[in-house]
Amino acid sequence: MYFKAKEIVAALFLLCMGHALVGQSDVFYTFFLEKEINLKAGGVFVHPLKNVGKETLIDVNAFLEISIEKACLPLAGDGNEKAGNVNAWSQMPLFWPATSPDKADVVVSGSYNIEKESDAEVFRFYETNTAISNPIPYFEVRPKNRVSAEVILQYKYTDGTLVSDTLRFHEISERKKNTKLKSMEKLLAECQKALEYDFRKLYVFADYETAKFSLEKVKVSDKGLKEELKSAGDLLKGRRIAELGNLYKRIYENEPSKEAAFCLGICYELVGNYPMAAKYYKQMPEFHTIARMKKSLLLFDYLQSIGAELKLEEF
Amino acid sequence: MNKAKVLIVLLFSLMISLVAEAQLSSVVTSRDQVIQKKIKTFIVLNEESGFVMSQSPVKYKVDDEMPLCYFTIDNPANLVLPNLGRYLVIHELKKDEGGDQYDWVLENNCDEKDVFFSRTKFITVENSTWWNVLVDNDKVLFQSMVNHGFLKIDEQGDFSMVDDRNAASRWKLIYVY
Repeated sequence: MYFKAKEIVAALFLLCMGHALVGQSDVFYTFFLEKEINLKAGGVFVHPLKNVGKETLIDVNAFLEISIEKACLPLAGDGNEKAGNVNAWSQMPLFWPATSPDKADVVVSGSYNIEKESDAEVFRFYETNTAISNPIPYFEVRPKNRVSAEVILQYKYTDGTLVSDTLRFHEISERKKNTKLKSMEKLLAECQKALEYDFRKLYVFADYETAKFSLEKVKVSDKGLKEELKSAGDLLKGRRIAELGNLYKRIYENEPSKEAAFCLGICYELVGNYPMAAKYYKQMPEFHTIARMKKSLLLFDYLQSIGAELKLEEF
Repeated sequence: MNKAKVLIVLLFSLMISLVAEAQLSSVVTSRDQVIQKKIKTFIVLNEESGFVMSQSPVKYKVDDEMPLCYFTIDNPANLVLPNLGRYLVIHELKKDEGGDQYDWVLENNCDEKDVFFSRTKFITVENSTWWNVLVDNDKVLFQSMVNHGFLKIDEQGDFSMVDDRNAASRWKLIYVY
């Protein structure tokens, strides 16, 4: 498989830590699977893409190289975390540049074609003032600039599997009333920016969003647990999720309630144990948790499907 | 008429009105519009010679910035000449930043027997700047009010007056936003 087991464990561990690290108060980042990507981690070797167009309007290989460099930078630790790794949720380099195709887990090759075209449409009109017996004809010339790009990428894996992907860009600008014509240079710059963005996205399969976690009020009759429960808010704010989870688990086992199940679900979610989180959330269904769980479980299933060894936290 | 038909009629009327709105009511720029700098500017092109009307006519190029003209009417009474056209004054638009803020208009100067752009300040015969716009298919001809001659531009970009309507230059008005 493409993921190395220990890296996945470390990644998940850091994912759990990541919640605490990036959280503010009771607001945390949650991660979900945005899309399945063709780069399934490991060593990546990229052959320069072949320009099949008539001219070189954009040097695609130049920024593809930069994009790979950014994605494959070693684990940050020099205070450059953001630039050091595109895959923000794991804080781990899931990809690294292979020195030759033989040493790569995936070899990327392909071609690109970028075209530009300028033309103008001419429209004939007459004055519309009905008081004029002989309306004067006039013309409007509406110039158009068009830029289109197509990048075909092929991924060849070590097991011989071949997968293709196509990145496309198509933009037309026309000068009309109240609409300025974008220059060809501007359109080409937009095209380059869009392709750069698409290249960066090739390395990101998990995305993140912020979510606010609020603990529900739980009725507890046991005096000892009641006393302990007073510190729940501080435990959450202090990112001491293992302790908090342990507390709610004991409360739930002692006096099962949907509120306790919900809080336990939060704890499981914050440590990345999505199956258990979903199980406890079910007892108190709520729109946001259902939506988050759907995405998170997709990520969980995807990691399992590509052979990741997932170490799940228990309380 | 049922509701659906009424709706269709309304939508059709709306479409017509939107199309009409996109077109110019008149190519003429009113005095108020001149003051408000809402000038309707045109590239006045003679396709036969390839020249664009201006103080110094230049060859037309689609991608280049071309000299622009606009039309006004001196006397509102001249707004409409039934079945003939209108007497318009042809101005060349000068950009303020160029320092040339004078009003330059096309004049048929009978004393000098020449046609050229003059500063309004120095024009003594008012109607020498009045041009009757005659429509010929999708182009226009300019006929001087002074001697009823027609404007012509030659292959060198020089203006002259001709008596024969057929020998007059046909001008294409290209509206520029």
